[in-house]
Amino acid sequence: MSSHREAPSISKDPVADNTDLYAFRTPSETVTIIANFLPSQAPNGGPNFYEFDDEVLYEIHVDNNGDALDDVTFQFRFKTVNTNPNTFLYNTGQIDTLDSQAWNRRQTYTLTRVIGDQTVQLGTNLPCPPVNIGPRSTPNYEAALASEAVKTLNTGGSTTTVFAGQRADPFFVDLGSIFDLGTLRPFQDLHLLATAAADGVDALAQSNVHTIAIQVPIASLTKSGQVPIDVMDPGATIGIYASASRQRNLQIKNGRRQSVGPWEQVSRLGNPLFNEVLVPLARKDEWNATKPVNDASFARYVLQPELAKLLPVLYPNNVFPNLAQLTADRADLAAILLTGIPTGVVPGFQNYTGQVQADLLRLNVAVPASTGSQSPFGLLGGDLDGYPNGRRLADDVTTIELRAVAGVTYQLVMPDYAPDGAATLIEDGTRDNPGRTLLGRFPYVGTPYSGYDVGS
Amino acid sequence: MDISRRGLLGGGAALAGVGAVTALTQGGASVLAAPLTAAELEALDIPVILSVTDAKRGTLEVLIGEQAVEFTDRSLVAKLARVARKEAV
Repeated sequence: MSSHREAPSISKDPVADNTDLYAFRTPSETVTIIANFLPSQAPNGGPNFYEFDDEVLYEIHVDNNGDALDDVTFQFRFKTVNTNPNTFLYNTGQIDTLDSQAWNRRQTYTLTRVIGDQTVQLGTNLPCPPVNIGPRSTPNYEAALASEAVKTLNTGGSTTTVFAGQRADPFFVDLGSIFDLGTLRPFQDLHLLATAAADGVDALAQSNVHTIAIQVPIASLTKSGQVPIDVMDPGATIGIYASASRQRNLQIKNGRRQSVGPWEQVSRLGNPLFNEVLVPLARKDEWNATKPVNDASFARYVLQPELAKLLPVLYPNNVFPNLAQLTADRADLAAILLTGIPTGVVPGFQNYTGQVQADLLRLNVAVPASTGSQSPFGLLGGDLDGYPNGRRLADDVTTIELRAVAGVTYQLVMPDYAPDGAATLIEDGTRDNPGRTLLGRFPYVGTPYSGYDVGS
Repeated sequence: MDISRRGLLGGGAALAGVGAVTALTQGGASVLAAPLTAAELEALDIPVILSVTDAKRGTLEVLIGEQAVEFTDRSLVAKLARVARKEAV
């Protein structure tokens, strides 16, 4: 979760595995999009530390006219080099700068923007920071290394700020309990196989991911080329997804790998948990290979989610009496996940992109960023700039989606429906992990956990 | 010329670059028989992969660079099938 090892094939190919996608408004009329890959990294995973794959095409796709097809695409291709052929080490001394001679294994990348048939290289030879090894190898990690890898590019007619490298996984979830027959520790006293209620355990509390983050002007993403100011403007919403692709054929011979052929999508992510929780196991690999424009074939899993049927079984004794009786198609979930929320459902808000059913993270860019404290429940908590209108790093999407599936949002489309009391309360209890930190500036995702410090 | 299955799959001995692939799909056996030009030989510096996509219909796919070219050549598929069967035995 939200898409860590969520499908059989991609769980065997972690460097191409999308884990989470975030998109939110940022200062100076910009949008920041963050796509994370390479899940559940043990920070002390040397001597061959985690890195992007030169043979994977990483992409961020933006649709701005509701057809679920790319209008603006950002492509990232990485290149890895060993600078010292005579050492087994990642580094032979302190890495105190991005051009340190002691740093053996380095990655750079090329950022390309595609709009229609126009392809522009926004940046080449852009540096990734090293991984966060420990205080002797990578001292002053954030200021001297990670921050130096944030680059601002003034090419292609607009300004793009970009970062690619290791970060602390901002996602939080109790994987250990949820996949033990749907247990939510704070409510496990109500479970079919009851035990005493307990605090949630964040399975990702000390794991890293690899982040690709871009910050671009809103006007460079919208169909009008302007910054919309009216939330109800039908052109104010963009749809976003991230993907990873491999070439069709991989040859391995004498220890060398060579990829040939067209790019084949092997992983994608729009809304959190879509493939993880809604798509049946037998179709998860197919879903990863499918473009969002073809998501109508998966719509039935949204309209009749298996989890909504399981909750009253796993939590019996009338914990979910109304959900148990709810057999109608879930128009609320279809709006949240497949089309965007149309006008008239949430007062003063919409992020509807039309009738094309596609799993895209939809962001109405006319909604200003919240000032002051944010609700972890996003739109459910009254923040119009929170999930499912885009996704902020601190949004508790597991709880939001659990409660939505449990019936809380069905009332929005069927006012006569009364959500169960439990539906408004359930959560996995991992939101308040004190070790999780975020930055107040781009790329916003926190400093990666150091290999030396984790587990010591 | 290595006509083993591995040789055909790995080396693409009779093919040279996208131009040659396109010519092959249009010219058939006469193109296969023509000697390779210097430019075509140079194009073989990048891997070329040939695979049978539908044996019954005689369709093949050539992968080169980031592209794929499909074409039909029943005689080539038959030859590949026989070579593969012989190797398998």
